Amino acid sequence: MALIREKDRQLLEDKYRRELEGKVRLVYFTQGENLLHVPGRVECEQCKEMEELLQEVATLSPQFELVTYDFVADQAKAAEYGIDRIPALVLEGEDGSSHGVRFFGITSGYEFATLVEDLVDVSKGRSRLSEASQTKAAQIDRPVHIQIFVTPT
Amino acid sequence: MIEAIEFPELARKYNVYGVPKVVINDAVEFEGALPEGPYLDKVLEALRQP
Repeated sequence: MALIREKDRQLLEDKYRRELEGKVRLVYFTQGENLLHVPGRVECEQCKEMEELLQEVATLSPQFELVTYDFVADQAKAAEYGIDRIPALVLEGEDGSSHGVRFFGITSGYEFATLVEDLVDVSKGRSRLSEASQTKAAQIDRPVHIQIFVTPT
Repeated sequence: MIEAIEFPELARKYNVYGVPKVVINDAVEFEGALPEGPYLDKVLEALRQP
């Protein structure tokens, strides 16, 4: 069953046709299929549903590319992207530029709207902040780590 | 963005009781939404912390 309703799918396809500029790579870290239950291994409850959702999102525009990595088997990639838990999604701009947008946990409910808009922002590759805010932010010369805790409802 | 229910150990670590909760550089935190001006001030405040 599709996670994105047909009506929403059409709205989103239209939106992305109008608003997208550059390509966006959706880099997804998940738990690989494993039929064997390994005692002590933490099972990723949301991984499968998140993967299904992202597969549907990726079909909304030819500008989207979904790349999936196994968190355990592709450890080097996880380290490269600084991923320490799953499910995790990184949005990358056309030139591989990172805008620092990362999602940990499923982006359903209200958070789906966040994902929908962030895809446009990363595609455009520029900030929607006012000029005054951008000037003020330009003086920041150290990394800033912002964690936003949300719930999916 | 972190889904607080999926990662309870992080929610506990950062005392997440309401959402959205924002934590900047583990130094400054606030609950709820802020307009961009005050939000940016929080980021700058976090950078002033030792």
